[in-house]
Amino acid sequence: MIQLRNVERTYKTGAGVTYVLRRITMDLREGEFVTVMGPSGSGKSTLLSIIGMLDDSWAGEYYLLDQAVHKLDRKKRADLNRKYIGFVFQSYHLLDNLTVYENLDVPLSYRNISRAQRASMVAEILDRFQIVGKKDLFPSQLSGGQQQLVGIARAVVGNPKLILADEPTGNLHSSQAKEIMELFKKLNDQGTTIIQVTHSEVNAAYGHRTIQLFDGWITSDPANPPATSPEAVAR
Amino acid sequence: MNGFFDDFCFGLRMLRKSPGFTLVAVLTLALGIGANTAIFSVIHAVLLRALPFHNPRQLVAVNTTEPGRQDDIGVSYPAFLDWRSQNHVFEGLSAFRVDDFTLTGRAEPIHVTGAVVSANTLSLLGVAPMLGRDFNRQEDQPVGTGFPIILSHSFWQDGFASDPNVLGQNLTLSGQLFTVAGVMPPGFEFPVERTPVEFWTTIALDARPLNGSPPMTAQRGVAYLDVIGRLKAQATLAQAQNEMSKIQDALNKQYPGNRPKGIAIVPEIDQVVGETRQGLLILFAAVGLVLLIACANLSNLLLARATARGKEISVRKALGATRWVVVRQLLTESMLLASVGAALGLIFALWAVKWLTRLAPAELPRISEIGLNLEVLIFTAGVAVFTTLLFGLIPALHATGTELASSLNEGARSGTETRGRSRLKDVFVVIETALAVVLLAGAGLLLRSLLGLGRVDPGFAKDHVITFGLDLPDRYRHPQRIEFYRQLLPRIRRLPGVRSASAAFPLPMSAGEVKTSFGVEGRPWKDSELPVTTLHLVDDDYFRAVGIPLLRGREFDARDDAPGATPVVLISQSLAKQIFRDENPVGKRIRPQISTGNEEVPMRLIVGVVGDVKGEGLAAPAIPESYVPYAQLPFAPMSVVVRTAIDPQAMVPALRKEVQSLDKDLPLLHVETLEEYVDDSIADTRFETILLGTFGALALVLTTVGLFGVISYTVVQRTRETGIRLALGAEPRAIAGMIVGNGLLLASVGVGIGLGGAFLLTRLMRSLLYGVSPLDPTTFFSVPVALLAMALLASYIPARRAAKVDPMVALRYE
Repeated sequence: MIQLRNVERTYKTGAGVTYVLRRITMDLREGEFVTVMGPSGSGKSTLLSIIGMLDDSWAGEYYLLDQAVHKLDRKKRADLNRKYIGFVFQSYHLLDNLTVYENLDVPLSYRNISRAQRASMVAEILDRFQIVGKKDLFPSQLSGGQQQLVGIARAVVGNPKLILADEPTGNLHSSQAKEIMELFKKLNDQGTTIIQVTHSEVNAAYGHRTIQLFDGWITSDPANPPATSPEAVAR
Repeated sequence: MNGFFDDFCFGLRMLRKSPGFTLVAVLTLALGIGANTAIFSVIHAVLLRALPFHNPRQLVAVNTTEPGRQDDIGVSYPAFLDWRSQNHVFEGLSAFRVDDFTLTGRAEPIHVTGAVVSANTLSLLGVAPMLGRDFNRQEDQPVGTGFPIILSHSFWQDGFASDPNVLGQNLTLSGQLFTVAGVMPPGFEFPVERTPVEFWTTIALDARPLNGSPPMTAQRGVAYLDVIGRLKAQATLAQAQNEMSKIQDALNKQYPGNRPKGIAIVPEIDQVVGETRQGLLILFAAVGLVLLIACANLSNLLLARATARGKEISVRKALGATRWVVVRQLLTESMLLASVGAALGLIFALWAVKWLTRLAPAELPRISEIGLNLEVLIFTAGVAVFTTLLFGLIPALHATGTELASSLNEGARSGTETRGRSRLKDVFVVIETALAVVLLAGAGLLLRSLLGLGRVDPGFAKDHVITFGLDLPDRYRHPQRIEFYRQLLPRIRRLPGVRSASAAFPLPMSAGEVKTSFGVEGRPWKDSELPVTTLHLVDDDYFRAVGIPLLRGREFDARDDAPGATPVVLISQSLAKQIFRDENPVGKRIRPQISTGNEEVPMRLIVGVVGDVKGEGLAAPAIPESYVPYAQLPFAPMSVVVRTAIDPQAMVPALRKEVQSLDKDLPLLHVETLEEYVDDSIADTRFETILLGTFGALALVLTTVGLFGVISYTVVQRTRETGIRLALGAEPRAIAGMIVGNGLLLASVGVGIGLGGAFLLTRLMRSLLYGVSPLDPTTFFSVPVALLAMALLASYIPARRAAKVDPMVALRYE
């Protein structure tokens, strides 16, 4: 489903160029549940942003469902994002001034979907996530777990093939985290590909494989044993 | 006190820390306060300042009115004497008129204006001469050789080098001998007009027989004097009105040969201010709206700062500061801004007052008294305090009103603003947009009036015509007057660059006018029902020189000037229509009630019909006019009109030379082009339009800047939201559309409310408008379009910035 070949991301700094990601090469099959781990600053979130097409300033090759993303312009990348990808954020990132219902409607409003069809899709997702009773509440009236539930519902509402979750339980206590991870597992079982970034070994256990990043390098990837690690480069 | 000093020092530091904010705030306030100060200084000088007389509230103007006319038509001296002797409500009544004089016998003949007044005038006004003596009662009649004259302080200074021995000196004015009796103190002026008179003499000047006619003071039919009175201490305006009306009714019955007249008594200050009051008050209201808009802008800036300073305020409160202490701190900063703004505003007002004085129409009285005096400074200080409370209080209360725990939490978390604060900012933008709509609608209506007036045909060709008056002294009897012009005009016509030349009284749109009733042959109307015409005395070639078209019959020519010629008259088209409807008036006869002496008023043969002239200004309807050859009625001070092929002003030295080659003691008076007369007639509309237009433009700029500020601020506040939306698939265009839509929504609500306000308020301007309804559709369409266009621009720039937000950065914004 996803192939990354020698993807690199740099930032210009006063002193020169700082590498955030280096020669990232990886493959993801459809239906996989992959966890990306690593210490802070290792490039996990940047990798997720590149896969989610929120970041344009990278080098290398990126194929999504056989489409060469690296050859597409910004608009076409945004089209791919809308069509195939849903995001879940650590801080939920719900829009404060919109109700739960309206928050779920936002991603659909950016797709070419009629109002009636959007209403039915939102109703279906409210029902599926059992949050119908909360549809008129504002985010500030929900607990953290409930907010993240809505965040996941919002990511799923457009039936994406891929969900990108950036530390989805980072702001939740353990029981809430467990519920959320169960939900991801269920979505994965239903066929949705998931890439999550996390610090939690417990959460990582829900996935099929774990990729380790360190200082922008992949240091471990079970699907690709000779991963390009700093040690390997040194050799 | 210590607290206040600390607040002051901290406030200074805070303002120094944000120079951009401080500069914008101070400049906004300087513009708002400065404009208000400048307009208030005009209002104060023209409307509010007491007249420079003793107990001025007791002074009233006694105006004579005619059916269908609101203005004062003047009173004859015999009628004035009847008023004075028969009333019981006035301590005194005084009659006066203003005239041009030529001072001769010194280096160069110079033109001066003087007032001919009844002898009790200065004592009635309660002001005594600084040097010499007041007039005495006997001096209302000619006594001795010279007429008594009292000089104004400025005339004494400039014309006599403040000579303390000026008393008793003889002066020759327009060929008459005068003897200086006194000098008035500085600042005294009467009547209160744009150009103060330079001396006063008594009504005895009018008590001489003139060119064989009875003295002016003996003619009950010649209404030429204005009257001022001082009410007795117990008398009211209504009592005076009542009694004077009764006296006039009795006079109307006693002298049925004169048209019946009425009396209107108005406070003297209202008489002086005249019709300028409404225009000035509208301008004052308009400039007040500009200040409100400026305050709304500042409130928004302060609300934005309050968000940024939320944590600081929370920490202060957590450390024990009461709400009042924090509010005081914030208000001190506002007061600092207002004070600096007011100081800069005063400098701006100094410049603006000079500009206003140059721009002001000629009829705006007391304009020379405009200045920044103590009252104006107190007003400015008051405005500074008022604006401080207006723009500072709400943000201060709002910033300090939130719950401590939530604000600490909020401040620590993100520095984002509360929903209430955001809504308050929107409210301010809506308010300022609404105010701008009201201002722009008013300015638009006036502009449309002015443009309409510019297209009005005055009825004559105003370009390339120079005019000047001549004050022929009394030694010029009627035949000499006719002869003088018979010599002068051909000389002028021979000058290179002159196309035609003539003389007339009065010129169109000049202040003077002769209104007279007239009979029509074969129509037995009662004297009191006779129609009225404005009479002009004209020399040969007048209609060609001024460019008034001849529609029927012929112009005057040499045969009308010959002694014993048939009395003739030319009438205007509107007079022809009014009296003769569809008949041809040429060959019919009318009898204007005016003559040069004691002979019977003659019937005059209508020899032609000429086009209508907007004689009373472009905004006034054409009036029925008639023209008589000067040679047949040579009584008035004529003005010369010269049509030129070159710049008319360039002709003035040559014209002066020709006049003075005939009489070296004749200066040219009131040298003006016809274009200037036309311009002067719409000067008040132009003045109001320029000022209201300036305020409207200022309002538009402030509102646009305000909207830009709020939308820009919103874009920053919504960075996180923008990032989320982009992450959820929004296209940058949709983000830009959302921001622009937000700006346009605010502007549209403001425009809607503003249109409602304008709908109610512009009808107050009805009297200032010409040819345009207070609800003019063009204005009411253009103003919203202009404002929404500016709103679009103000929103588009921040919207573009929003569309370029990097979602990665935005999502890390927290």
